[in-house]
Amino acid sequence: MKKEKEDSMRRLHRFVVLLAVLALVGAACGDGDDTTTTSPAPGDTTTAAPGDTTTAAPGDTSSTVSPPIAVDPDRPVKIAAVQHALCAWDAFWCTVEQGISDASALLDVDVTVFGPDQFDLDATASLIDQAVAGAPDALILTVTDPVLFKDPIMRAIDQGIPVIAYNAGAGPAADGIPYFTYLGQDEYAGGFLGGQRMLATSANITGGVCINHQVGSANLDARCQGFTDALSAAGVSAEVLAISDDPTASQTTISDYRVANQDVNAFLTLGPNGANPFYGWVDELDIGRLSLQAGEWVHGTFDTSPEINANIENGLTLFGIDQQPYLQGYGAVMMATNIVRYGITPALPVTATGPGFVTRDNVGATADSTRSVKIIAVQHALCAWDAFWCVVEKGIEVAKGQLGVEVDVLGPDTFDLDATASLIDQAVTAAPDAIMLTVTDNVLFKDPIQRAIDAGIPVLAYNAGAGPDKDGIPYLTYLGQDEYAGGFQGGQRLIAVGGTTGVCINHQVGSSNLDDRCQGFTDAFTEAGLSAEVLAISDDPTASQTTIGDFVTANPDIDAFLTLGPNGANPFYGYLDETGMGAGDVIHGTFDLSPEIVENIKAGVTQFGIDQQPFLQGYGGVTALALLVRQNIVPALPVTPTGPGFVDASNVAIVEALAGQYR
Amino acid sequence: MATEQVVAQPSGVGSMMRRLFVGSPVAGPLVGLIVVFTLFSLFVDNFLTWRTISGIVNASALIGVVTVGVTILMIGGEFDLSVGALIAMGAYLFGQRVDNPVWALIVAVAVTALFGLINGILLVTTNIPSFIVTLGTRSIYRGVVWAFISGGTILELTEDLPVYDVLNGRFDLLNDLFSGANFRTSVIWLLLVVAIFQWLLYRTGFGNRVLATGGDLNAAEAQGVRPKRVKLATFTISGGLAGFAGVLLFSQFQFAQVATGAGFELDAIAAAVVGGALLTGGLGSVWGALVGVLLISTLRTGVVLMDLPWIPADNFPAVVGVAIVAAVILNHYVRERAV
Amino acid sequence: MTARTAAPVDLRHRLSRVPEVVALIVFAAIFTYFAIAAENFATPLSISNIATFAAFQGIVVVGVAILMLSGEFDLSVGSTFAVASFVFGWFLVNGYNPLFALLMALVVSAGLGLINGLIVAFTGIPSFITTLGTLLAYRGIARAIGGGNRITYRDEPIALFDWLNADIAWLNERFSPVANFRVSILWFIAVALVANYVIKRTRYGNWVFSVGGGQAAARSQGVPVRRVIIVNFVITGLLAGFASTIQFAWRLSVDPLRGDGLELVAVAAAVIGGVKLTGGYGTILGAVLGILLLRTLEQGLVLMGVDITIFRAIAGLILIVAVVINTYLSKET
Repeated sequence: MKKEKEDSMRRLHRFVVLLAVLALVGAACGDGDDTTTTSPAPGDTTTAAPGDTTTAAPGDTSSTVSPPIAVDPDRPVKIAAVQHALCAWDAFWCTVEQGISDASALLDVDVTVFGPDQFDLDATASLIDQAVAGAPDALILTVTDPVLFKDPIMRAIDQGIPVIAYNAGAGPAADGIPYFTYLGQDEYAGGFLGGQRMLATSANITGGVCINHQVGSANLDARCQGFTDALSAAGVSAEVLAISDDPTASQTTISDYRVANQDVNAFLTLGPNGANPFYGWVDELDIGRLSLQAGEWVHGTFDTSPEINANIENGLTLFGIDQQPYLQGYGAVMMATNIVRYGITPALPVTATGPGFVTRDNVGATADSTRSVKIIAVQHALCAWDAFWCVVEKGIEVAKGQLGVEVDVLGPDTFDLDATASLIDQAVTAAPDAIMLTVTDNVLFKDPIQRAIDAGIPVLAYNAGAGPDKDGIPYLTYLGQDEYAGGFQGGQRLIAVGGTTGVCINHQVGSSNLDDRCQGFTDAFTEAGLSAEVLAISDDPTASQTTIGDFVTANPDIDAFLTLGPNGANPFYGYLDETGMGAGDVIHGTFDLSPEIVENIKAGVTQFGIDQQPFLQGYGGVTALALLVRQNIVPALPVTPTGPGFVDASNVAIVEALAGQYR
Repeated sequence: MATEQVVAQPSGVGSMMRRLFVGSPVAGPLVGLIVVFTLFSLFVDNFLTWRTISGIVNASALIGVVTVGVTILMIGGEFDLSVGALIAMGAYLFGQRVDNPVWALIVAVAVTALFGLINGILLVTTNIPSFIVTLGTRSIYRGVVWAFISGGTILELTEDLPVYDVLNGRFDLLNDLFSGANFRTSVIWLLLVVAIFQWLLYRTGFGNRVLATGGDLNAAEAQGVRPKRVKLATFTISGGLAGFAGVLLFSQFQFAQVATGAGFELDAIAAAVVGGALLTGGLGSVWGALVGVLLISTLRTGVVLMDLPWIPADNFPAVVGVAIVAAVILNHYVRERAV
Repeated sequence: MTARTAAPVDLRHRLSRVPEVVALIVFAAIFTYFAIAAENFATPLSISNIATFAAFQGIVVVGVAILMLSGEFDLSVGSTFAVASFVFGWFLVNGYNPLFALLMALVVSAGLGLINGLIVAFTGIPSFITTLGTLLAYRGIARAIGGGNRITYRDEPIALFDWLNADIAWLNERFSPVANFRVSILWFIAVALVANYVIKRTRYGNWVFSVGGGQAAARSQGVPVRRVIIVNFVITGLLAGFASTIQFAWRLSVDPLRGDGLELVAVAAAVIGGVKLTGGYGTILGAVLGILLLRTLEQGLVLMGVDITIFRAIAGLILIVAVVINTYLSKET
C-alpha cells in the first residue's frame, strides 16, 4: 500500500516536472523569435581611424593601404567620378558610363560623373578639385596625366577620401600617387594569354608573329612581349613585325614577311589598325583564308570592331581581346563602395579589367542587365562548422542582394572531399547559369569540374585553388590568396620579431590549402637556418588546447606559433589563458581574422592576422559570374588575388569593427 | 545486437581480487588508469607535473559530463547518438541570452532534456532500437539547431560575463595551491555531476530500476519495474547533461556553431566502454565514466608528450580504438575466468 | 491492441513478406515529388548522378546488409573504405602492377573484416563496441599509410581504372548535357544480384538468416554460427574495400577523412530498406532501395537549394518513419 502511494506521488512529481519543462520550452521558443543576433552588428560599434589619418606614403604599392574613413555597411554612399571624356562626345565612354550607372543602381550608391565637354586635361584637373569640394565618400577618376593630376588627387587623399583610378593610369607606383588601385587592361597578360590560347587551339603551331602597328608605344610593346613569351615558353619561336599606319604598305609588309618565314602560322594583331591590313592580305590569298578556317593558321587580335567581330563569327579570327570598359566603370564604383562600406580594399595596385576574350562562343552576345541569374556555389566547408566561411558566405549574401541574383550555397556537413565532388555533379544537374567552387583537390575535382565546363556552364574558383594552369582545369579564374606565400611571409615576420623555433598548428591536416600554409611557414624557418614543425590538432577545442600545451611541454624550445584560422587560434588563446601567458610571452601569428583574433592583435598577444579578405572571395565570385552572364564580361586573369594582406597593430583598429563579418 | 549477454554474477567463486573485479565494473578501468598513469610518470618526461595533470582533467570535463549521461543510458541498455547535436543546442540556447544567463542556463538544460525525452518517447512507443532512433534524431536535432542559429551562422560573443568564469573559468583558488596547475572550474561541475548521478544510481530506487532494466528485462518486469519509464528518465538525463556540456563549452569559448559537438557521441560511448559500461546493459557505474574519460585523456597527453614520429596528434584516435578493443577483451576474459 | 479485424492483419502479413515494400513506396513518393517539384530532376544527368553516387555506397550497403541479416553490424566500414583506397593508391603510386595493387587493397580490407569477425565471434563482445574500436584504429592505419596526407595518382590513367569505373561514354553522350553513367553502376548491380542469390537461394543464405534469428537456436540446428559471423564480416570488409577501389579509380585521390560517416549512412540505408538491426529479417533489394532513396533525396534537395543540414534532418526523419512502419508490418501477432 505504502509503495503504491509512493509511486503515485512520484508519478505526480514527474508530471509536474514535465509540465515545467514544456513551459520552459515555450518560453525559450518565444525568446528565440526576437533574438536572431549572431554577433554585434559592426555598425553599432564606432571604431575607425580618424578622418585626418594620412594614408601610405606616395609610391607605396602595398595592398593594405588603410581605408582612412569610417566604415559602415549601411551608410549611404556618395561617389564622384571624374573622367577625361564623356559618352556625350566619345562613344567608347558610353560603355564605361553604362558600367558606372549599372553599379550605382545595383549597389544603391549615388554616383555623379564629371567630365569636360571636349578633351581638356586642365579642365579635367579642375573638375577633380570641384568634385572633392562636394565631399564625396569616394573618388574614382582617370589618371590621364599623372603629373598634372597629382596635386588635385593628393588633396583628395589628404582629406581622407579613398581614390580609385580607372581606364587611364599606370598604377600607384608608376604614377607616383598613392591611390588604391588602377583598373585597366593588363597588356602583357593579354598578349601572353592570347598566345596560350592559340597554342591550346592548334597543336601544330610552328612560329608566331606579333604585328605591331606602333612600335615604341609601351602598351603595344608589352602586348607583343607577352605573346612572344608565351610561345617561347612552349618552345615555339615568335617575332615582332613592325608595320605602319598605311594599310596598303602594311599589307605588303605582312605578305613579304610571311613569304620569308614560311613556318609562321600564328598571327597576333594589336587592334583594328593591324587587323585590317591582315584581313586585306588574307582576302587576296585563298590559301590563307582556307588555312585559317581549317585551323592550321590562327589569328587573334586586340580590340574589337565590326569587321573583327564578323571575322570571329566566320571563323577566320580566333579571338578579339577586349579591355572591357564596362568593367572599368562598374569595378571602380564597386571597389570604392566596398572600401567605404566594408573596409574591403583592392588586393592589387593594378586590377586588370582585361584581357576579356571575345570568341565565337560569345561574340555578338547582347548585354541584358536585368536577366535573371542562377549561380550555385559549391564549397568544401560551411559556416555551420567553420567560422571562416561565415565571412565568405556573407560576401555571397551581400552580392546576391545587391545584384538580385539567385545563389545556392552547397557544402558537406563535415570535411569530405568526395561528398564535395559529388555536390559539383549534383549542382550541374540543376543547369545553373554559372557555378563557383573551391578547387580543394585538383585531381579529385577535375572530372566533375570538366563535366560542368563541358555542359557549357561557366565555372569560377574561389578560396581554394591555384589557377587554371596549375590546377590543369580550364575554369575562368581563381579568386583567393597565395597560401604558400602567406605562410612564408608569416614565418618571416615571426622570425623578424625573434622567433627561433616555430610550430604550425594545423586544424585540418590533409586540406591542401592549409598544408601549403604550413609548408611556407616551415620553409621560411628552414631558409633562415631555424627549425619548425607542424602540430595537428582536432575539431574538439578543449582537447586541442591540451594538445598544444602538451606539445610545448614536449618541445620547450618552441617560441613562435602560427595558427591557420579561428579553429586553431581559439584553442591557442585558451592555452595562453590557461598558463597565464600574454603579450610579450609568446610570438604568435595567425591566418584569418575573428573578433577574438582582433582583440589579441590589439592586446599585442598576436603579431598579425593574415587576411585573405574572404568577403571578397564570395562577393567577387558572385559579381564576376553575374557580370559574365548579364554583361558578357570575362574575368581578365587566371588568378585574381584577394590577399594576403597583413593586419597588425598598425591597422587593426580600422578592420576591428568588421572582423568576423566582412573581414 | 544478438550477442550473448555477459551478466556478472558475483557468486563468491574465486579470490577477493577476482570478486573485486567482477563485483565492481570500475575496478578494471581504474587499475588500467593507474597503470597507464604510473608508466607515463616513470618514463615520459614532463608528464608528472601539475600542468599536465590539470590539462588531462580539463580536457575531460566536457566529454565527462556527456559520458555520465551516456553511461547511465548504457547501463539501462540503451544508447544515444544524438548527444552531439544537443551539445550544440545547449551551447546556443545558453549563449544567446547574455542579459539573463541563469535563466538561459535553465532553459538550455531543460530544452535539451526535453529533446532527450523525445528520444525516449520515440523509443518506448515504437520499440525501435535506440541506435536507429537516435541515428535519426541525431540529424533531426542538428536541423533544429540549424533553424535556431538562423541558417548556418555562428554565435560568438566577446563580452566575458562572470557566470562564464563560474561555469568554466580559471580555477585560481586551486591553481594557487599547486605550482603550474591550470585547473578550470568545469572540474567542479564534472565532479558534482558524477557524484550526484553515482548517488542516484547506487543509492536510490531509481538507480536499482535502471540497473534492473538494463540487466534482465523480464526479471526486472517481474520485480515490478516499469522499464519504459526508466528509459524515458535515462534519455532525459542524457539529453540534459549533453545540454549542460554545451553550456560549459560556451562558457569557455563564447562560441557556438551548428556543428559544435560533432563527434562527441562516439567519443562518449568510447569513454563509457573504456570505463566499463557494458553496451548490453546492466553493468557499469558513473565513476567508471569518469575513469574512462580520464584514461583516454591521459593517453592523449602521454602520446603527445612522447612526441612519437609514428603517432602524430591527429592519429591519436587510433590509440583510443586499440584501447577500446583491448579493454573489452580484457574485461571479457577476466569475467569469464571469474565465473 | 486486441480488437482487430482479420483483413488488415492479413494484408499486413502479406506485406510483411515483402520487407522492401516501405522503402519502395517512400522511394516512389520521393521520386515523384521531386520530378514534379524540382526543376531538372527528371533528366538523364540527374538520374545518372543518383545511380553513380549510389553505386559505390551501395556496394558497401550490400555488405552491411548481409552482416545485419546475421544480427551483427560494422561501424568500421568507413575506415576500411579509407584504408583500401590508401593501399590501392600507395601501390599504384609506387609503381606496382595495378592488378597487384587492386589485389592488395582487397586482401587488406578483407583482412580488416576478418579481425572484426574473429573478435566478435570468439569473445562475444557486441559488434557495436568491437567495430567502434576498429573504426578508430583502422582510420589510424589509413593515416599512417599516407603519413597524414592524401595519396594522389597523377600518372596516365590505366586500363584497370576503366574496368573499375569508366565513363559509359556511348550512353552518356546521347544526352545533353552529357550524363554521368559509369561502370560502377554495373558493378553495383552485379554485387547486389550475387548477394541476393546467395542470401535467398543458397544454404549459406539460410544460415545467415538462422544466425540472425537467434544464435542458440541456430547452433542447435547445426549451423556453424561462428563461421557465418566471421565470413560475413570478411564479406563486409571486402565489399567496402572493393567499393573504395572503384571510387579511387574515378577520383584518383584519397584523403585521410575519406569514408568518414559512411558506416552510419550504410546502416541507415539498410534499415530504411527494411533490414532489421536485430537480424534475421530483410532483403538485399530493400537495402539497395534504401541507398537509392538517400541519394535521390540528396540530388532532389540540391536542386531545390536546400541546406545540407536540412537534408540530413529529412533523411533522419525518413529513417525513423520507415522503421516505425517496418516494425509495425513485421510484428508477429
